Amino acid sequence: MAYIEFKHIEKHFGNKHVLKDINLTIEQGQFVTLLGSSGCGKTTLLRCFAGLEIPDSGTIMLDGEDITNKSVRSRNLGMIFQQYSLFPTMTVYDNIAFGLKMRGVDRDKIDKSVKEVIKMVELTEHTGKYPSMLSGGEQQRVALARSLVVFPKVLLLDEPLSAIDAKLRTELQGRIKEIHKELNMTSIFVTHNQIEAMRMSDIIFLFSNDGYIEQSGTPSELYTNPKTIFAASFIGNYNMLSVDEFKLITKAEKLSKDGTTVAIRPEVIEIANAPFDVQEDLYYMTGKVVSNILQQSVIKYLINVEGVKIKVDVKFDTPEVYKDDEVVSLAVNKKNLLIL
Amino acid sequence: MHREKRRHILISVIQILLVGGLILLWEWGAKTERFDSFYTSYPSAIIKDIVEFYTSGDLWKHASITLQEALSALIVGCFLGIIVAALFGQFKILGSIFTPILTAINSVPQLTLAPLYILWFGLGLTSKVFLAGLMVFFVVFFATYGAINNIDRKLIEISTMLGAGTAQTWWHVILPACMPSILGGIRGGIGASIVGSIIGEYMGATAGFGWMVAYASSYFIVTRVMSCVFLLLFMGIILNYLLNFVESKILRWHSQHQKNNKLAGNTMQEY
Repeated sequence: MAYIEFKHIEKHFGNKHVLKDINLTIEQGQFVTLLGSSGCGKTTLLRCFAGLEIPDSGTIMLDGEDITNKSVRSRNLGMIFQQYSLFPTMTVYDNIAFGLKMRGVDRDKIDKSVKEVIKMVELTEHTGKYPSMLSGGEQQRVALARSLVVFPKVLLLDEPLSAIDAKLRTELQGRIKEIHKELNMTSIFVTHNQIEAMRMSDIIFLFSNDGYIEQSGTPSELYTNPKTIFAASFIGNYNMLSVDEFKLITKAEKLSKDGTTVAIRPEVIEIANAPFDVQEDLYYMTGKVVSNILQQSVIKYLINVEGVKIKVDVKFDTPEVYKDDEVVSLAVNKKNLLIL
Repeated sequence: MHREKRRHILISVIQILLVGGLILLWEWGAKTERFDSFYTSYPSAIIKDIVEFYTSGDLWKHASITLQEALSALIVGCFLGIIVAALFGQFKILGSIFTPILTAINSVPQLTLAPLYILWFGLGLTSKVFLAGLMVFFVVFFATYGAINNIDRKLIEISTMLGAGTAQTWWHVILPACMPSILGGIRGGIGASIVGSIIGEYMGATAGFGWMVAYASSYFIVTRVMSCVFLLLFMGIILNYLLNFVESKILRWHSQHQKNNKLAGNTMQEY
């Protein structure tokens, strides 16, 4: 039996149908991400699990127990919000100790647990400070510590890194993932950021904009094999071409499968300044470089092929960089085409 | 010296010079008969009158009555204001029903109702405490209720998720977070309690500063009126000072928060 099960969850806010027949299962110890754009229902589902919203219908199971109508405080879940939501009147120590105090744990045990978790999130120097004296990243680590110290059955993270700058966000992603591994704590992470979801998750549930789960799977499954146009456009940086556009630029007469859209990942397109040797399993294109941008270890080209813009990513391990307006040849293997 | 400290000293010096200068100007104007001191009295006469007021034993008699009325009203008004705001905050339906009614009642000037209170409760302490207490109640209630309604709901949610019950959440999370506004309300309540007591005494009493002011006015003893005004001012300053002391003890987190906001503001200005 799965550790967490959502069965036929429906939720309306007024006339808006936010969650439509949501069914999903999560195994113990997994790091699961609910991914989708703003207003797609992912946070509502998380709040239903926490007991902060009651679903209109459906059942939520946790560790074999129906918790759909169970009170919030008896669920034993930890939650971290985007805006930290630390108690402004309490010091870092008191914020972290709060959950244990409310549970009536004796003072020595509280002190021991709080010190352990403070060490884990590397906040030892800040125990006596108030939240307003800390940076955003430090505040979010306090929020993490406050949730972890009570050993919740599930850790819920509602866009916890959205308000943090890019560099610190990457660091915190790593820290959260490390702690998850260390404690093996089942975690549900909500984000609209697909890169964050890819980096952190064991399983991703991708929400459509209409309150359905569009697709689920491991990050690599979702990235390499999106099932729908929405999934391909949300998850990867795919080149999304209509079948007619694709036939126009590759001179292909027939595709292996019926569909309306051809999706090609930028990194599977080969690029050269001379024509490729003709092979049966390749499609060919010729175009002009519109732009080249070096992003960390990748050169991102934009190529104009008969009026259609094609994105091509090349690993930056060669001194050869094609200049703007240079004529280049492109090739893509047939097996790397996704026809949707 | 720290820039902020220098600024504080400068402000204090300007305040002392301004108030001191005005007092000296007042004294000088009266002594040199630049204006008729019958209508305003003058500082040295007021000080002399306060000393006489004190040595005769009347000062303490009247002050103790007004203080008793004001403090009783402050305690009752604050207590009820906070409790009712908390009840309305917890049970939203009560807030929806009663807040518009309380707002309407609050818009009626208490001065117009004071004779009724005298009629209902007599010339003694009760009518003054009722009048002043009601004034304090409204100030504290609206400050507290506003703060409760504006509290970040996520703080309550996380408190509940961490295992706190309703009472624990109120005690540990909501009330402390609302404390700056509550203390702001109490600060307003201090003024309201004194004003309420004086109005009550003015309308009908046998003692107290308000009675003394009414009595002295009717005999054109302006110096005594001014003495009472300064004594009331002094009383207000002492009560506010006490509140500042309490505030500095229980709002350490808030002063830090304000300091950080100020720093952020300064940084923004530099850009």
